[in-house]
Amino acid sequence: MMISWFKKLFKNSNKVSIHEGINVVESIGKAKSLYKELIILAHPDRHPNREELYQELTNRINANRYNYNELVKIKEELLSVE
Amino acid sequence: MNIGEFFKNLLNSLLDGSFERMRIINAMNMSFKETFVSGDINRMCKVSISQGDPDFKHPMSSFWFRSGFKISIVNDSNVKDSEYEEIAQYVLQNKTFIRQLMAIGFDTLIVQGGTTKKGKKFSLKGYANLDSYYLQ
Repeated sequence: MMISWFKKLFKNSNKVSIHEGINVVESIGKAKSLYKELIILAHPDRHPNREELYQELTNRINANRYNYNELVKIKEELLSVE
Repeated sequence: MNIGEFFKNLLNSLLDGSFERMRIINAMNMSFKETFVSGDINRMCKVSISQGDPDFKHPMSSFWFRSGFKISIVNDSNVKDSEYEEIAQYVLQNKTFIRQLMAIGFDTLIVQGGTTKKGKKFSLKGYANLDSYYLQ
């Protein structure tokens, strides 16, 4: 009975994702500088020919300013667009 | 992990009935240590389970004395109020993480200084956008 209880305990713990918790910590450390870098890169005034696209990217950067993983994804997208 | 931490984890797991909470907390503590050592943050933080605020209770909450998710700032000299707010925003703006915390029984986010014990409390349900899904 004890063994099955321990098995259940470990089985449940493996289902939990620690990914978001680590993202929060990384965000505290790295998101601020990445946000500043991206908001300058994606400023619509720097891209007068594709203003709408960069306005949308700027909005997404602002919405995810506290989320490091999302900012990294946006950076990849930004670099592929340029 | 030292022997004290081992028994603390065991006690927490027995009280919760699973290792879910301790797994997240240990992963975050490890990550905080790495981030501090690498120089990305100047405030060393520690995550632990604490007493929650009964006013912030929701249907998934644990007992009030185990429903607080506490982030303590270990080197907390000259911490400004805005720093507590800023650290809290990184948790509160991450909707997935809020829902995860709520699902494992937390209802209160506490950000406070490790030695001064000054800090702020935040209601998780207020940031989860689930108001219309609660029983009145």
